[in-house]
Amino acid sequence: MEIQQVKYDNKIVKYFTFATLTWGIVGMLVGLIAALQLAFPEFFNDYLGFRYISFGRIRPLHTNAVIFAFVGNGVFTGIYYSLQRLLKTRMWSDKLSYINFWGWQFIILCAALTLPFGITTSKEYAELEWWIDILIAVMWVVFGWNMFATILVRRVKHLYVAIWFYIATFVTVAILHIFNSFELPISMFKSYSWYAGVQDALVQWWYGHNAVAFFLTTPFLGLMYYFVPKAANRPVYSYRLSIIHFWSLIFIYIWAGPHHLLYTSLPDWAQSLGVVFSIMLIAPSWGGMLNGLLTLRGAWDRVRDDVMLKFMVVALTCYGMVTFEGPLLSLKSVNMISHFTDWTIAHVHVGGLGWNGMFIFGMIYWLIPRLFRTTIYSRKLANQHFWIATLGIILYAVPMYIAGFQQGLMWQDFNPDGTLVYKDFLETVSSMRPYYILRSIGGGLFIIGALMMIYNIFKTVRAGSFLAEEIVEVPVLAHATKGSKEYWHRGIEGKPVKFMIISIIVVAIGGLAEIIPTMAVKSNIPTISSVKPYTPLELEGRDLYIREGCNNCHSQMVRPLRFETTRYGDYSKAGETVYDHPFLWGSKRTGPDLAREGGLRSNGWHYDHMIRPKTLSPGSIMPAYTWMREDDLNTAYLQAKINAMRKMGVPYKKGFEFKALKDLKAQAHLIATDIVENMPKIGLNGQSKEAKIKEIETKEIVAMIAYLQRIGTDIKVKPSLK
Amino acid sequence: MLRYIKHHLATEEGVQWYGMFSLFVFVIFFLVVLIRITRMRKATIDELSAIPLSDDEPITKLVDNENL
Repeated sequence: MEIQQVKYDNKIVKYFTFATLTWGIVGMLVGLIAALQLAFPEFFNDYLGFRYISFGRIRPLHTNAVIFAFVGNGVFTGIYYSLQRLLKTRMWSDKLSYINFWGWQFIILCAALTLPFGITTSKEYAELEWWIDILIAVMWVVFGWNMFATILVRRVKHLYVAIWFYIATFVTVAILHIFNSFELPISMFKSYSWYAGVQDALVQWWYGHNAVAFFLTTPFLGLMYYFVPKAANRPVYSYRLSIIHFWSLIFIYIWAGPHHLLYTSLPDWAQSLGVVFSIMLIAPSWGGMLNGLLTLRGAWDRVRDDVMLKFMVVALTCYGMVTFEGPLLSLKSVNMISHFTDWTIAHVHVGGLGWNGMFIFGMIYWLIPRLFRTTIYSRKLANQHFWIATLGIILYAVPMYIAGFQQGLMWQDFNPDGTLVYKDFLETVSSMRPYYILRSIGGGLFIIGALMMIYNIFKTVRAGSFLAEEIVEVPVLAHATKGSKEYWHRGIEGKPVKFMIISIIVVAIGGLAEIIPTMAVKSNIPTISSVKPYTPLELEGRDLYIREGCNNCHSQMVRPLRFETTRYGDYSKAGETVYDHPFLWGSKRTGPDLAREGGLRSNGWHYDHMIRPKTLSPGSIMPAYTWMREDDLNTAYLQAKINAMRKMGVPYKKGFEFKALKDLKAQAHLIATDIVENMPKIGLNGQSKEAKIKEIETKEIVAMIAYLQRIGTDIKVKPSLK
Repeated sequence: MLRYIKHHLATEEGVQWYGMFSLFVFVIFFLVVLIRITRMRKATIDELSAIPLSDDEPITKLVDNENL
């Protein structure tokens, strides 16, 4: 038997570990700032009203930083460590490993340098602009290429279950990212989604849901199948279950996306399909969780002493809770209450803080002493971190659950005479304040825990000596002989390429089932003849709406429910958003829905409200958008925008792009005149009316008002279904 | 192909068929996996599930006995 020496690359693992910790703190801090903005809006509006940290801009920064920077680097840490050991092979190419590392960090930097400046596509968890999307795709391929090449030159015959999850992660994230990112660039910093309205919504949530599935779940299940047996020093509870777990999970997950669009204008059958598969998802999810927890059978006494196992147990328990809750939330009756409320925020944070966060912490506590050949600096501190983090999760999640439930019920509360009890949306927002404060404390505790960990890791690293190249001796792979004794799954897992192709097919079945409707619905959407493309000024206003991230707090989707139509007006139709590239239905109502906002209030009201929300809505937590009154509207790309829209099927007449600017100025003048005519004298500031009109007609705020006044007005005219 | 699918999606009965078909595909797929898994040998399962634990002693545990 020939023996070979293998050197595992620990340096790349170290790099990713440090990046995970660094970005973890950054992402969580941004989240804390966002949480504090909702808890103490006066402070932020009066003293820290910078545009770059307004809620609509930093909420996507928080989600992107946590998902792709913290969790992403954490996933790479675990995969680069376990893959080499499970395959008894060093990563195929060091160069690719480090391109992957630095490329990923560069992408994160790009995200941090674009999102606060309002450079965003507005699509949730895919906010980054087109060229960053391309970079992500390239870096993902670099990672996959390196992983696959390593698998191909491995020194073991079989691919352990963890690696199947890594492969599924790679393949599916690539598909999701590419399909969701079809966009038409206007400039370096602006692009439009290729899809519009219902189709855009469906593709987005097919992506959004499965990003959770294949970026936040499958890689962690793979890591669970490696690190939990390692830490417990016993094999996985049931290998058979792991096979069923894997195939069922990747088969079912991909179908469930439409449950994010219940009661919207997505066709009903697609919603139902999403619900059915979401319910079915409980089975494989719990199969996986139980497989992880039961691996600890007979080793529970060690959970008391081993801090890493403690983190793992809480992580798996949170995973169990979240995957039980998810299907419940996809039931229409539950979703009616939970959707658009903080319940969703509670749900994702049990997943994010509990499952992903605690898992990563546990994994790093286990890895660092091994990489640095020492013991952890302070077990006591690590234990304290565990408890403070657990407490943080509870303090975060419980108030948010209550908040969501309460607000959801308040929205649908009717008086006996058929009027709404909480007619003013603001009342329901104000009652959330105590919960927002508690949530900030919970999040703060979680960050304090993470900082304690960083100190602990820092001291451990200082005390230890880093093992950059871990040398082991392994036998050369004996070639498999094909015989009748081989069982089927061994046949697949021995052949990674075949395995990958089967995985793609399994994932594609569900993917196609959602893409077919996407194509089919185009002709099924009843076109509404009164729905017309946006005017140039409205189009520019819509882009400002996207830039400021208004969709993070305001939905544009009135569900066909009595309490919604009473509050907002006619429910939203699929045909209304056919020209919306991208769709702006939103997923959270921190503020009221805007789908029927157009024409409800005067231009002057909007003008004042955007600049001083509190004067018109006392107690409002909306940021003041003072800069929109000061900054001139940039119309440099207007022609390109009209052309791009036409290319995507929006029926602007040929040659319209040349008169668009004139059209824009005329509409701006009308709105500005209306505002000034109705302005109290004090607003004129001693200027003549003409001078004031001239001053504001070129400003951004006029475009914003034009758009707000347009939303949902098309079918207020005379709807005629074709 | 697409026209065929669209045709079915346009009517209520057709849509029902679509959902049923999706469910059937999964059930069949699931049963196939289940049946094949129950037929796996205990020895192979033990060997496979020990893979992550073999890091510590790479030489002794890694050998594929069947092929030596």
